[in-house]
Amino acid sequence: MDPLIRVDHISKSYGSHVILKDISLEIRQREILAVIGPSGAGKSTFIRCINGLEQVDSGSVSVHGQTVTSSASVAGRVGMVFQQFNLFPHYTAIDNIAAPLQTIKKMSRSRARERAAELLASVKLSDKALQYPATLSGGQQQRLAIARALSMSPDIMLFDEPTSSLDPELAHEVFDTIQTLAERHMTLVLVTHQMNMVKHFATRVLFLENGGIFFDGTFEDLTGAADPRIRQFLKKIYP
Amino acid sequence: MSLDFSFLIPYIPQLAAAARVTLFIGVSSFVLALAVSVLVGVLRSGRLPWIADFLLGVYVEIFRNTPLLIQLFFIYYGLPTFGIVLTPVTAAVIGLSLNSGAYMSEVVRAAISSVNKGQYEAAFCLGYSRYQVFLHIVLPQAFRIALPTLMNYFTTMIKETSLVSVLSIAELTRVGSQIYARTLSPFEIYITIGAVYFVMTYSVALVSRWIEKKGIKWTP
Ligand SMILES: Nc1ncnc2c1ncn2[C@@H]1O[C@H](COP(=O)(O)OP(=O)(O)OP(=O)(O)O)[C@@H](O)[C@H]1O
Ligand SMILES: [Mg+2]
Repeated sequence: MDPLIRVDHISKSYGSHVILKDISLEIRQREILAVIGPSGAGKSTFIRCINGLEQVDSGSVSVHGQTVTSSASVAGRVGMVFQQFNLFPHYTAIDNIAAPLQTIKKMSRSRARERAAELLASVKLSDKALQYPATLSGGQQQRLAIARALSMSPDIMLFDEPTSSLDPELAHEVFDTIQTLAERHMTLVLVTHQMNMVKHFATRVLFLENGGIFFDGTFEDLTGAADPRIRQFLKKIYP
Repeated sequence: MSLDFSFLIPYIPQLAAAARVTLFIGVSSFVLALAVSVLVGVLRSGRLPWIADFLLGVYVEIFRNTPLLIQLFFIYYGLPTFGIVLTPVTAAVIGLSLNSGAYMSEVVRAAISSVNKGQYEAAFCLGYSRYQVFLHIVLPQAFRIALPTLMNYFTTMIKETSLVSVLSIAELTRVGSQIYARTLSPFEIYITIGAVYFVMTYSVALVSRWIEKKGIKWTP
């Protein structure tokens, strides 16, 4: 099967600061790829190159064979979930999903709201439909953000530390929502510092360090790895 | 000294007419200033060719860095030199709206640039075009941020209309001075005029507060 995402020798710098160094990798359908590594390793930059929020300096990223040149070239097909949710504060929960459907997919208001209501139900937020984001808990906001990204029927979902700004109990709600996506065999890329997420979801783990891929394999291989740098990192975040 | 407002009674129709003129100039200048400021603020917060950005910058800085009175004189007495002859009221409205428009455009621009970068990113990832993000996501949020300050300019503007009395427009300040000249009772007449201004500006403040509380349901 053709890979869903092909990352071909990409490099990225900010000024003289090299963030990603010649990274290549393929992500196949149904894979759940966890991206881990120390802070500043380039994890966010890496997934932001996949959805076109950052432009690569050299190399290329393609989704279904189509080269990513900007966020517009993959918009909708690559769903993105941010650490800070980035919900639209001026829309109610249901309109956070319905308004983009109307604007982008040109759906009628009633059809968009119908679809939004289904998605709200799927993340267990039906009773919050008419509330504004500011009145929702962090966990509810993140679930809404996931539902909003799903509304565009993406082929793949990217998560950039989706639970890092949440209390552990609230993180669990988001964890459960990701679980339902995993059960539906969606292709997921999960940047996280939480090893329980990696252990639970990842079919494959990518360890980034200093802008390069330091490890690429299963969770079992990772925990069994002899490399002192990996062991030290794991000891810190997964004692 | 004893205060007696009864001598003002015959002047009530004249004062009411003057209040209407003040209100007309204040409201129409504000509406125009709002249009100017949104246009200039939006244009300057986008990616403009440098020459357009430069020219809009020149407009904003000239009107912010010279006295309003000079601007009014220039528009009313200066422009006829170029064959542009305006009625006093038109000159007043143009002067006031260009002046406040310059200040208010900076408010609009600041409000637009204070909208979180994450809002653009989330919208782009969903598939919004630049134009759609601006219209549906950024402007409504910028509006909320700018509203209190813009309404503040509205009250300032109503007070500034007293300056246009120099263009011999029969608005409150000028009519008040005329009545004073006839009655020689400055205390009563100016307290009355002041009260009328107060009612107007305070009403604007109340409306503004109402919109902020009731008109906008969401919070950032
Ligand atoms: N727009 C930018 N301009 C300049 N430097 C940047 C920019 N964005 C990121 N960087 C730098 O790039 C490096 C990698 O950033 P990135 O956010 O990808 O790391 P990360 O692995 O996601 O880290 P964290 O775990 O802290 O989120 C950091 O040193 C960061 O300071
Ligand atoms: Mg990051």
